This record gives sequence, C-alpha cells and structure tokens, in this order.
Amino acid sequence: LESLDLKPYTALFNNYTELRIQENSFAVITLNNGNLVQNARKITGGASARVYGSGSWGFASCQDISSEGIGKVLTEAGENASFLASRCGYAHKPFPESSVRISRSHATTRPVRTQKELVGFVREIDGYITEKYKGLTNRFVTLSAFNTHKKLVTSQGSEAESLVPRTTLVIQLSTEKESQPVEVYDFLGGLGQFEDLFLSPEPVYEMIDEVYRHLINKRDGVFARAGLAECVLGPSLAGILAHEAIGHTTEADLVLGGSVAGEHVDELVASELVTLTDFAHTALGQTCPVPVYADDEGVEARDTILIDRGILKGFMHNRESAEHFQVPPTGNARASEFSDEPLIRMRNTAILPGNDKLEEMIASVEEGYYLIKSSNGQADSTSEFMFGVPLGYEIKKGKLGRAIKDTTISGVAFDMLKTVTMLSDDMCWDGSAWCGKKQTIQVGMGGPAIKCHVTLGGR
Amino acid sequence: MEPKETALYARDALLRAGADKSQVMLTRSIRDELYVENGKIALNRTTHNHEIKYKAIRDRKQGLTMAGRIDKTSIDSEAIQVMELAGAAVADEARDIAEYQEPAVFADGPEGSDKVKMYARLREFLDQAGEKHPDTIIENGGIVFNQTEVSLVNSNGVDFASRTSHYEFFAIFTTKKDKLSSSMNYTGCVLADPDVELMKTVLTERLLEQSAGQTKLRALEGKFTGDIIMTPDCLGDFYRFLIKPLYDNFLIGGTSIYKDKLNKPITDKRITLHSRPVGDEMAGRDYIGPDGYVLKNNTIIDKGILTGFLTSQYGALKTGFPRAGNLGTHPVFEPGDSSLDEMIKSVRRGLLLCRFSGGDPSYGGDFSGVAKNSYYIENGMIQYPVSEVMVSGNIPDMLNNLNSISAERINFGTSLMPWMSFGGVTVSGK
Repeated sequence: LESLDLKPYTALFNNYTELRIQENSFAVITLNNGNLVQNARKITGGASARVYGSGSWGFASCQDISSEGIGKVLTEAGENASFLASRCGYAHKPFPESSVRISRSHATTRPVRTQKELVGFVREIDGYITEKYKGLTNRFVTLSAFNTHKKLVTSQGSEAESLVPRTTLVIQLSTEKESQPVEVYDFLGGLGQFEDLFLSPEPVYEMIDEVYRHLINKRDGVFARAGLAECVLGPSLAGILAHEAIGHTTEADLVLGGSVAGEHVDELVASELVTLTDFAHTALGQTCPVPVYADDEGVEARDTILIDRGILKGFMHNRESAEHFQVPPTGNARASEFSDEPLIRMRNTAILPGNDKLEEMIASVEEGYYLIKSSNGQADSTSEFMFGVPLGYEIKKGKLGRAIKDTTISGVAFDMLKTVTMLSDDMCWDGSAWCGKKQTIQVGMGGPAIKCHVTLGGR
Repeated sequence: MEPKETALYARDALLRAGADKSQVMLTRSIRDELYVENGKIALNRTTHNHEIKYKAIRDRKQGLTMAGRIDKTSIDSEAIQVMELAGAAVADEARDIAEYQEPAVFADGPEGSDKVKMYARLREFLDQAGEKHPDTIIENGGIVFNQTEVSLVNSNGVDFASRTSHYEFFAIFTTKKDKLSSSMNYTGCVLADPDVELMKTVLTERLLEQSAGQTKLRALEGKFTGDIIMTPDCLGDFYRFLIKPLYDNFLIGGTSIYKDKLNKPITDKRITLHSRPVGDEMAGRDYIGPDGYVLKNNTIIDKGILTGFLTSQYGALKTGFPRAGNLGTHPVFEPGDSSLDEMIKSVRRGLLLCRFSGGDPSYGGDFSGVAKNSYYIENGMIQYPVSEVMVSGNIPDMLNNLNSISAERINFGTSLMPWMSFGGVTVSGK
C-alpha cells in the first residue's frame, strides 16, 4: 500500500469518482485468569471506488489492489451507478469543487515490539493483579491495537493519505457477593501505537488500584432509585452524552430522515453554558483521539460547531447533504473498511469545559448521583438518548455515598441539556470509543463533568 | 487457485512453517446491495471479499490470524506470522483443532443475485410506504444479496465446503408530522427469494402503521411494578442478553450466573428454546462453524431446564462442559397457546414493549433501559404510546415470572420469535 500511486488511475474516471485503497489491522492479546484466551491478528484491505452519475451512487470493492483489480472496481462502480440512474432518474447537478492534498501519519518512530514482548507486558500486568489482589473471582487483561491506513484520490483533484493507530489496554476485575458476580473495568490508551503509549507499566498499576477500589465499593452497591434525579456526570460520561444525545441528531442524513434537530436551528436547545463541537483533528491545542485531516470524499476536514452557548448552529455534512442545505461540506464523510462507502459520521465530538470544580459540583447536590463510567449507548431521532452506566455513587447532602449497581440513564437531549447548571473546568477524552451507525467506526468523545437532571433505571 | 486448492496450500504452509497442527478456513463472499437513504434508492453497492483464517498449534501454543491476500507468496508470509504468534503464546492443553469428520459439501440458495427483481420489489415497497404513510420517512433500508463460499480444511483430515446465499431486507423509519418526530423503529428479515411483497414480510406493515401514530406521545408519572409484553422484534434484540452467560467468556471466568445450572431449571417450564442454524424453517442457514465442526440444531432450554452451554471447542476443553453443536444463532422459541389480544387483556398495568434501548445487563442479569415505540396498557387495554419510560428488572427473575407465550410466531429467516409476557418488571416514568 505504501508504494502504490493512485494518481494514474484518475485518467480512467468518467464521472465524479472517489478511488480509495485501505488496510485496517487489528491485533489482540487477552489473558483471562492467566489463560491466553486471545492471541490473534486480523488484516483487511483492498480497493474501492464510488461513482456518482445522474444522481445515483455506484460502489464496488475488491481485495485485489493490482491495476487489474483497481480497474475492475472502477468499472463495476460505474456500472452500478448506471443501473440505478437508468431506473431512478434523480435530478442532480455537479458537486461544487472542493479538493485537498494532505498526508499525515501517527505511526510510532520507536522500535516496534515483538509479539513475545507484548504478551510479556500483558502477563506482567496480570502478575501485578494476582500478586496484590487476592479473592478476585475473575480478571481480564486485554491489549488491543488498531491501525487504519488509507489512500484516496478523487476526480476533483484530492490526494489524501493517513495512518491513524489506536491502542488500548482494558482491565476488568470481578468479585462476588451472595453468588452474584460484580465487575468493574477501565482502560488506558487512545491515539498511538503501543511503543508510544505504554512506556512503563506504572500508570496501568495506578488504574488497577482504582478499579479494585471501585469493585470493592460496588460489591456492596445498591440499586439506583428509578426516576428523574439530579446527577453529576463524570467527565468520561460527557463524551457519550455529546455523541449520543446531540451528535447523532445533528448528522445531516438523520436530519433529512426526520431528526427533531431539523426544527431547531438557531434556537436555544441547551443551557447557555453548553458549547458542543465535532472537532476534525485538534481541540484546545491537542491532537484528538481520531484525527481526520481529509474525509473519504476528499474534503478537507474542519471543525463543526453544533451548539454555541446553548444555540443549535448547524449539522455535520457530506458533499451531498451540504449541497442540499447549501452550505460547505464539513469533512464528515467517513468509511470504516475499504469495502464500506463513506457515511456522515462524527469524528471527535465534545462538550467544552466550564469554570467549576468537580468537588464543588458534587458538594452542591443535596440528593442525587455521581455517575462515573458509561458502557453502550443509543440515540434517537427525537433526541431521546440512553446509555449504560456500570459505575456510579449516591450523593447525599453533598457527599459521596454508596456505590450503585449497573444502571441506564436516559433523557430527551434538548430538554435535558437545558437543566445543565455546572460544568467542570477540565476535559477528558475517551480514546476507545466506537460508533455503530451501519458500519462500526472509531470515534473520539470528550467533555467535562456536567451537573444536570437525567432519568435513571433502577428499582 | 480455486478456494479448496488455496485452503489446502495455506494448511500445508502452516505445517511447513513448523506447526504441529494446522486449520484453515477460507471464505469468499459477494454482496450486492441496493441501499435506501431517506426514501431514495441512493446506492448500488457490490463488494467482493475473501479472507483466510489461519490457526496453527505448536507445543500446545496457538497462533491465530485472519488475512485477505490469497496468493502463494502472501500465504507463505502469513504462515510465518502465525507461527510467530504461536511462539509468543502460553502453552495451553485446551488448544486444539477439530477432530476428523467425514468430508462434506453443502449448497443452499441461488447462485448470483437477481438485481432487477431486487430493485422492483424495493421500489414497490417504497411506493407503498409513501402512499400509505406519507409522513413516514424510510431513513435507511434496502435489500441485500449475500453469497458465501467456505472451504475448511485441517491437518486432521477435515475437509468441508459450503456455498450459501440469501437475501436480506431491512428498513429503519421515522415519522415526522407537525414538527414532531416519532422514535425511529426498524425491522428486517432474511429471505430465500427477493420476489415477495416486502411490506408483507414479518411485521413491517404493522410497525409502519404504529410509527405513523407515534409522533404524539405521553409520559408516565411515577413508577409501578407490572407486566411487559415483548414483541417478536423486541425479543429478537433482547435474545443476546438472555444467552450471554452461556458463552465461553462467562464459563471460563466462572462469572456465569448459570455455571452450576446445567440440567437444572433456569426458567419457567413453559419456555423451550432451540438454536437451529440448519433448520428447514430458516431462509438463511449456516453449515460450518468457525471451530471446524459441522453445525447442528440443538436445544438450549427444554421446558425450563438448561440443557446445554454455548461452548466452543476451546471452552469445552477448558471447562469440561460438552462442546455445543452451534453458536446459539437462529433461535427458535416454542409457541404458547395465547393470542396477542388475550395477552393484552390479562395485563392490569404494564407495557407492550416494542423496542428496548438499554445498557448491557450486569453479570447478575440486572437490566434497565428505555421503552421505545411502546404502549402503556391498563386494565387489559392499550392506552397510548409512551415517552421517557424506563423498564428495569433482572433477566433470570423475569424468565421465571412468565405470564404467557403467544401461539403466533414471526419467522425472521434466521429466528422464530413469539410475543412473550413477563411480570414483576419495574416501569418508571418521570
């Protein structure tokens, strides 16, 4: 893939065309109670072409990146577009010209570790747990590494290449109470390769100590009280709130599909404390977890302000939706695998920090919950969201109380965000997040701690 | 090279690279898709994929990789990589490949797609939906043809091949009226032939009608303990939560709530659950499992008794439980004897739960989530569609608190689901 020059193939383009070659690699090592239950690697790669002709899209992909394979996908994509165009006859006009030339790599420059060294690192982490913490019923240590390498040329003259790695180490510990399993997990990592992110095991040990402390508290946890409650959402929950509650409703394809956000542009949809942006690659001077410099339509990626001090400002776009709304494309068209077509996707969606301290926020709650970690989440066209909360604590008279059992929180985003009264002055990115809209793709999510009202599941 | 020739070459490449045992699964697939975006057939996509899954064992250490390149040079190079992984592994007596079984070839479904029919039936569906429900938007949807060829060989003499194909239909929709949006809802099924009226498949027509009436919702005040009737679509989504504790991860780690329950009651005795990947009633069948064994239909719960875990070959050798004949796919619940009307009439307070949007249940089975596209039931009558209502409970408790199962079931092509009514669930509003 490194040496392949796609530019000569642009001579074969007849209509608006994107030609992409891509390789995704994934490696995983998992120890479960000391057993190496996963020691695997997967590589997928190939070529794809997407052609827009007479208002219809044709797409084709194959794993052969020889000139024969690339010629085949270009031909098949064109034929597929023609098949639809001959039947659908949609009105169309050419997309406005927009091109970018960029090449960025986040690959390590350090010597690459061998598989044996990586397994050794994971075993060392597992050894720390077994040595220090007796009485656990189960433990998982999982090291995962993803690399996404893409090259793209388009008929509008874009030439883009990127290599974006992600490495995470997940620790999951379990114990029992009255024969009922209880578990807590956490992770370290994000953008980068192992060699750059895990220079020593000490930060992992600190995380393990914290996971164990929460596990012991959760073992004696209680059910949350079902219903509406005042809550402080920890910084790591702000990201999923930004992604699920607002982000999805402001993807332009979902707006066209009936999302309620379409009716509220330039209206107050949140507390004036709330500003929410989908960052392309850099936020507050730092590289984001999933930096996107050019999207898979060859559009230069730029930040998209979704909510500015409580006012809904706009949507995330690909070329086609931007044309519909008569705005510039934002560089949000992303494909997960080489065989996937670009869809409007979030990149690094975050609520910006405020001026409060987390301790003061907790102290200001008479009775409610401090919710720390999230699991899966889901959005809706109504802006009603939900996500799982596997770790949290009661707040009683401004102080943390008992841990709570796993729960789910929900709310209608455009109502709930109006209840935000405090935002902490720090910012936390989740560099392990994925989004599952048709294709599973890496995203970044971030934000500060948030004080607000949400509905909890419980008893 | 032909698929089998390639698979044999890869198997032997692993042995040449030093493996004691080798197993290779080559998959070659073609996917033709007509994709709908916001009511328009917007994309015509064709993908050609192939993938080789390499498994090598040396000194009871395993290396496992998956890669897409199938030329001899790439296979030789990959074999060395697999052995590097095996060399880095920890010896484990439970690592093995499939035992010898009689060679077999399986074939199912048409060869190649009929895109003209696919288009015609999809166009018909969109026209019908637009005519009957002009305020309902088919956000995404489509019809997809999948054809998959598998060749699985190993150094114990296993030699299987299959060619399967089927069509998939799916629709995700939202209604927007007077600036109000419904919750999105979705459905879909697997079909042997695309030449059917898609609106009449599974519960598509009923769900679209429901969506059209779900822009004006009512919130519930307070909370109560009551009944939920899960629809077949909802039960299909919830199924993965029900069977999660039966898999390797939970059994090897000892965190499965059912680890001591084999051949013991775990649900109400009216519940019988099968997994039927090669069932005659399934439009989308699977024949070869990833472990290298031919898949078989089996029963997971028989009249409330847990009759088997969903253990892989590794999980079985690790835990001592029998290896499952399949992976728990293609679920089939035995029917009950109630009509849906009777089930609703018997509810004093509760919900018709049409979609569940919830967090992953705890290891102990505690769950909570939002009741989407759902209806409040009081005194045996459906009252109104609800908003911002959560349901909470415990899965093992719920399965023992069964009210009834419908006689009617819906065949989704890879599952057969009834309506099921459970008691003792917490329903909470604002």
